[in-house]
Amino acid sequence: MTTVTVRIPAPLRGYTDGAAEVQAQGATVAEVLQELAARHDGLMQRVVTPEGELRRFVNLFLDGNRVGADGRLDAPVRDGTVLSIIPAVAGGAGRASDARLEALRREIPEVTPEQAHALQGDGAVLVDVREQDEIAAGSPQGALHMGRGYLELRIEDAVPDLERPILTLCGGGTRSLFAAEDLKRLGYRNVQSVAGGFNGWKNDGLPFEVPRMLDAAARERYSRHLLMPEVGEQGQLRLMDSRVLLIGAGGLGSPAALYLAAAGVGTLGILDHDVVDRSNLQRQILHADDRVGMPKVESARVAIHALNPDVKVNLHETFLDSNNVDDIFSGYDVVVDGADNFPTRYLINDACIKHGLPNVHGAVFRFEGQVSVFWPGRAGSPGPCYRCLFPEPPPPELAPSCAEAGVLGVLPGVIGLLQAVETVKLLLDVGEPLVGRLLFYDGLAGRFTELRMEADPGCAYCGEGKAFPGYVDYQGFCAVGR
Amino acid sequence: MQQNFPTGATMPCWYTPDMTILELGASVLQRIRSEAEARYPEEACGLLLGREQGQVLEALAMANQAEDRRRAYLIDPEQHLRTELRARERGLTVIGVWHSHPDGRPVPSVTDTESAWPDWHYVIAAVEAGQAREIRAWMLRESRFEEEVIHP
Repeated sequence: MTTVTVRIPAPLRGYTDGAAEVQAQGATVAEVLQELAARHDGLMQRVVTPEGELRRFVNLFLDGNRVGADGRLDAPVRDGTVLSIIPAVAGGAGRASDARLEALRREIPEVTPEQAHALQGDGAVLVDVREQDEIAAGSPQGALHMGRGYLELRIEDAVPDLERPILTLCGGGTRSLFAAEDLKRLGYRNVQSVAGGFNGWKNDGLPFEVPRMLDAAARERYSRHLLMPEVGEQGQLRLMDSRVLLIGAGGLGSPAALYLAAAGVGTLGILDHDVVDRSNLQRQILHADDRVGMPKVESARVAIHALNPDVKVNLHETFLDSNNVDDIFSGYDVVVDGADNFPTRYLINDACIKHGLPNVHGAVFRFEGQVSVFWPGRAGSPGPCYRCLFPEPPPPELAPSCAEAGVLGVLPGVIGLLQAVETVKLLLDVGEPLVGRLLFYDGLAGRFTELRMEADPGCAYCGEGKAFPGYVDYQGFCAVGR
Repeated sequence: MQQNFPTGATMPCWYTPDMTILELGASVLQRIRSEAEARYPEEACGLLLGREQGQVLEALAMANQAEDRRRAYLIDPEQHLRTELRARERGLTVIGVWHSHPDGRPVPSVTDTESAWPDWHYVIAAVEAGQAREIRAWMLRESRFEEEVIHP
C-alpha cells in the first residue's frame, strides 16, 4: 500500500486535531482523499463536493504539481509523495452582477404591494430599507426604517423573533431583494420582498406617511448616536423633544448641562440665583474666567449655545422655593438635583413626588460622591424617595458644604456625568435606572460601591396611598434638623 | 465586572470582552498600509505569516490574479504553496490573508464572506483616495465574520 504525506492548511487543521501533516494511504489522489475522509470527519466536505469533485475554493498539489484542476482526481501517487491542500484565497469588495440578481429573484419570494399591505395587517413587519433622504419623502404607514447599511446590526433589536414574517421594501424592488437575502442569512425564516417597491406602493394608492426626521446637520452632529440601536433616529428625536431641569449651575450642573446639550436634549432649564465667582472655576466648567460676575444662568446659556446652538435654554434666575416650584417643575420631564443645600434638596424631592418626576440625585464631598434616581412615581417598579433615605437633614458637622469642606474639582465632574447618563437613560427609556440603588464613588480608593435601598412604606411623602402632604418651611425644617 | 484588556492595544469603541486578539506589529501594519496605497485603485492582497494562531509576524505582498482587480482579489495557488513551503522552513505558517478595499470600508463584503475559510485571520485595509485609512481584523466563525482586536 502506498503511503503519502498530506499537508493540511491552517483553516482545516481543526479537523486533524491541529496537525499540519497527516499520513494517508491509497493508490490515487481520490483514494487518498477517501481514506482521509474516513478518518477525519468533516475535513473532506470542505475539500470535495458530495459528487466527489474538487471544490472551487480548493487547490491540490502533488509534489508541487497542481492536480485536479481538470476535475480528475485519478492521478497515481507514489510512496513518500506529498499531497498539499491549498485553499484558494480570494474575495474583495465585489460587484452585484445581473446574474446574481437573477439568482436572487429565484431564491427570494416576492409579493405585490397590495399583498404586502394585507400581510402587514396580519402581523408581518414591513421594513423600508431605503436611504434616509428617500424615506423623508414618504414611507408606508407603520414601516420600520432601516437603511441597508445597518440592517443586519439593528434588525434583531427591532424584530427578535426569527419566525415573524418580514417584508422588505425599497424604491423599485431590487435593493429589497438583497436586504431579504441578508435577513435570511441572519436566520429569519419568512422573508419576502415587495415587488415594485415604494413606487408601486404609492401607485396602488396604499397608505403612506411622511415621517418626522432629523435634518442633515442634526444627522451629522448626532451620527454616533444614530449608529446605536438604543438611540437611533427615533431616540434622537425623543431627546430633542425632552425637557430637563438642572437645579444649580455649579459643580454637578456644569458637566451635566454640557453633556446633555451635546447629546441633543432639546430643552434645558437652568436654575441658579448666584453669579459666577472665580472660586467656582476650579470645577464649574460651564463658566469662564471672563464671565466672573455674570449671573450663572446667563453664563450657562453662553456655554451651552457655544456647544450646541439648537438647544433651547430656559433661564430661571431665582432661588427655588415653595411658591415658584410648581410653576417651574411643570414644564419638565426630568429634574437633575445639583443643589448645594438641604432645604432645596428636600423641596426638590417633595415637588418631584407631587409632579411624578424622576429626580436624578447627585452629591459630592471632597473625594467622594453619590448618585441615585429617586422616583417613587415610576410605573411598574417604583423606588424610594430622598426622604425614605434621609427622613431628616443631617447635623451640620456631618454635612458641610463645598464652601466649608472643599471638594476635589474633578469629583463633581464624575458625579455630574453619571447624573447625565442616568438622565439620558430615563429620556430614552433604555437600560436600568439607578432607582432603588445608590452608587457611591470613592475617588481616593478608586472604587464604586452600590447600595440597595428600599422605599419606606410609611413615608409621609411617597408612601402608597398617601395624599401629598403639601410643602413645608424648608429652611425651618433643616434648621430644626440641625 | 473585571476584564483584562491587553496593554498597548487600541480599544475599539465596539469592544466586547469576548473579542479575540490578533497580534499585528506596527511594521506589519505599515507594510500593509504602504502596499495597499501603492496598488490603489486596485485591491492589494497577500498572505499573513505567523508562528501560531493570533500572532502575525509578517505580511507578504502578493500579486492580485483576479480579473477585475478593482473589485476582487485572488492569490495564485502555486505561489501560495511556495509561500507555505518557504514559511515552513522558517518555522512559520500561513495564518491568514490581508487585502484592501479601495474606497470601501474595512469590513468583509459578501464576496469575502462567500470565499472565506474558517479560523483564518482576515485583515482588511480601507484605502480612500489613495490613502490607507482604517485597518481591521476579522475571523469567520460559523459562517459569520467576527471582529478581532488588533494588538500592536
